[in-house]
Amino acid sequence: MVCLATACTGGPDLDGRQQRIVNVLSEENYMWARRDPALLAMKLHKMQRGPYEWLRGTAGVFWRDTMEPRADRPTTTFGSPASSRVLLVGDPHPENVGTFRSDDGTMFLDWNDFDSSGYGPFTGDLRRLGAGLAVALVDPDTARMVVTRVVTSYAATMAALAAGSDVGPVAHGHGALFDDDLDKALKHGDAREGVNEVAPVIDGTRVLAVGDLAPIPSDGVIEDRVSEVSDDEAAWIDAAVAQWQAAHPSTGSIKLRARRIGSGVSSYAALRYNVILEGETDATDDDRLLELKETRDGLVIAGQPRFAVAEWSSPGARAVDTQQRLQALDGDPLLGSALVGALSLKIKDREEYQHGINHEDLAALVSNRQKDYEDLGAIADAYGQMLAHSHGTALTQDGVAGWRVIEPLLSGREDAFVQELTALCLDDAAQTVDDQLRMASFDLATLVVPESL
Amino acid sequence: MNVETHMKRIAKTTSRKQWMLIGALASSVFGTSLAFAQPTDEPAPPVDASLPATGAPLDEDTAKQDAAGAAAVKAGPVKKTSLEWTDCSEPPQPIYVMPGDQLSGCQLQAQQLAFPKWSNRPSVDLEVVTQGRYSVKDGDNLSEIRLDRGEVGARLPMGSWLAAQFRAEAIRSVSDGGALGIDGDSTVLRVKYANVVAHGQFGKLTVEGGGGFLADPWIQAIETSYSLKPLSRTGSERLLGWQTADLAGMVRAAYGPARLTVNVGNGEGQRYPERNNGKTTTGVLEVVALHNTDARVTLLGMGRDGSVGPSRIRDRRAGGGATAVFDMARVGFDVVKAWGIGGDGAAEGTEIGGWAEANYQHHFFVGARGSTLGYKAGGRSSTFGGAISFGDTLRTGGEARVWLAVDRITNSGGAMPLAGADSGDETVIMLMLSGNALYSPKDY
Repeated sequence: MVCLATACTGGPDLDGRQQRIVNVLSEENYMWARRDPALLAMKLHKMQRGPYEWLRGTAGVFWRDTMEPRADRPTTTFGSPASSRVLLVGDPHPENVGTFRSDDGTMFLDWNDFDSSGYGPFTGDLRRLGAGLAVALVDPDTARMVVTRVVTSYAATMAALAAGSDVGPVAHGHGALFDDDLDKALKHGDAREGVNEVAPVIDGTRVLAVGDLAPIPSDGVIEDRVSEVSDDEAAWIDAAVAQWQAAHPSTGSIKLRARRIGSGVSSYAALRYNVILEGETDATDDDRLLELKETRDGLVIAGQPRFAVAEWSSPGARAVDTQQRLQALDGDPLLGSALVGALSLKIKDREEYQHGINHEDLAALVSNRQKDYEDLGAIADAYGQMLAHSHGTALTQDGVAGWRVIEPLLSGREDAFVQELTALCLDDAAQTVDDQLRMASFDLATLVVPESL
Repeated sequence: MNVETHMKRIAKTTSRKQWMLIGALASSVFGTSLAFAQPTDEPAPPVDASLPATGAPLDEDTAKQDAAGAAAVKAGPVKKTSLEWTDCSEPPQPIYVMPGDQLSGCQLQAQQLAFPKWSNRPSVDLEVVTQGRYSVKDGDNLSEIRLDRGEVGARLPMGSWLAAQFRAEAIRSVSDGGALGIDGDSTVLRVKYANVVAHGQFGKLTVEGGGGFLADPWIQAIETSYSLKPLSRTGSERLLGWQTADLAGMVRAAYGPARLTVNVGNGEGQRYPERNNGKTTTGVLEVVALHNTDARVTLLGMGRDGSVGPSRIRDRRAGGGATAVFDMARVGFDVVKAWGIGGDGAAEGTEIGGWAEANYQHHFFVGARGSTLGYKAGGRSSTFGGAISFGDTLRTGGEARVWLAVDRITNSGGAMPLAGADSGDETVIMLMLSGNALYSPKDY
């Protein structure tokens, strides 16, 4: 009775920061907690593997820390109301860059995850990128060098855009690691390794490779599983593909459908389906692999004057529109979206032309400083260029090119900008590492998933 | 002047009472203030066009009887007079007496009470506020038409001491700033209140209790005489994110001029079911310090202790305020100290709000309000606004107003959306229509 009338509770005692983290994770994952708490628990376990995985799963914590009133929130001298309405990637951490192949066959690198895209202050995106690199690289000196290069490159690219220079996509020539990733993606894509992995050809017929494509580690988190879909799921998929095909009429009929579990961290619990479409011929070697991924509302910046709802008709439509606006080239001719009931899906080409960067590859460059520091620097320049290109060329919420509202803030103050943003990025990285350690001993699932569920 | 003639006169002069009466009734029934509705506990007699308009000089008999009524009010003891026009065995609707009101016998009884009486009548009410707004900000300005409020409520008595209440409100189905709702972003109805309440009278002590989705007692208390809801929610709700309803149990006791309400609930409001084992307890003390034909002054005190979310973020509040209602004006203020704000248990701040509204013959209104939240860690969020409005009660039951209003939002320091660079300031100009209607049949 005493507990009924007061705030007393059971469970572990959490400090204020731990409470905040749990609260944000609970709100952001609420619907997934209701739909599939076991899958959400795996996501939370995956987040706890290390600081970088933690960073990937806590974009919401970062943005709330950045934009909501709280103690010791750092101020910035590089912002304005107009530059708070720049179109953002939302979660531009290093692994959210991947390879793409444009219509003309050009292989390039660009942002590949737009789950969190939306309008907001450009410095938030830049801080997120810098913090991600610092966390990935671990070594403080290397992190400072790389983040400084990223911010410097960002400012230089913005100035180039303002000067009318043609800032192209990030293709070959930005370090051996990126070059290697581009080469591998082209090779694997040409070999159609994506579709062959999910549905190999056996006796002339494609068959789903149902099961775990990667071993399940000791923490029990499914790494890469392909499974059959239920009848209901098959109906959703068919309806979604039919919508998508209205904009892609030349694509073939559905041959196979599969549920895919294991990708990502932040969106680990999202529904993902693979669909094998008939190619231009009846042969199996031109079959296409699509990914249908559940997409939810993206970045919502508190305190900004705006209409009550976003300008897009669905989260999937937002992700598609922002990808097209933020990428340097059109890297996915199959890109589209569908809305089936309350399920919003982003649909994209899943072939191996699109392959993400692995943060461990970046970290590995740190081990051999003399040989690879130059490579890291080039990679840092590429990251800064990519983000500046996205921000600078996409129209803001007010309908002007981003560079028009960003570049005047930086012009003549580039050094101060680099200094301030580098410090903020490193602080954000330190906060991420501290948060991960702070929560490492807890079973997050028992904290985040409400008892009533 | 005979009784019938006087009844006609009452029908012409009840608008001021109706404003107050409906506000009290709605407060009692739905936990919300409908400060501009018309009562229907008595069918309005046909209006004789030859009758003097409200505020016009009365004939000699009427003036004498009004003076007698006013004298009875001031004298205290209630006397049944020839002015009675209601069967007093049927509990009258609650009433706050306003200066200059023409009181009947039962109204004379009712006005002796500091708080609304329990009602045994079923009722249905509708409240709507819609607006066209133009938002002036840095960059492109925004213009849109909104349905700010659309609520429908009902109360059904179950015997003389028990009643069931339900209220639904229209909301947009998309989360703030999001894109995916129901069928696009349709406007949908959600439950605001759904509860069962009981009442008991023990001598001079009145006790009420209830359970279900209940109105928050603090919001209910400060909104009772707050007539600027179409212009803005109160500072507690708008700046502190105070939930207006919660799944809770409630006990309320009134004795003379004092009323204490204790509410024990989930603390999660309407957005979530319970997410932790702790409960949120809110206590509100209301004292009617002054209650006569010239004014009604209420003092408020509040304390809350609880938690929200699975991590049990503290939700602790202490505050107070006062409201005063006069014939020509009403004013109020509230001060709330908060520990834990908006999902951040470490955040602390103090919210101060105030409002005032004056009227001319209860048709023309001028109002202003403001509220500000200062964070202990630095930074301040503020909202200020004002409105002029014109309204009238409708003989069919209800009231409508047209508003021209302005609302200003500012942030500073650590409360800025982008600390140091973007304050998120906005000025909104609104042309609003508000209306509500109440149907409460006497024969039931």
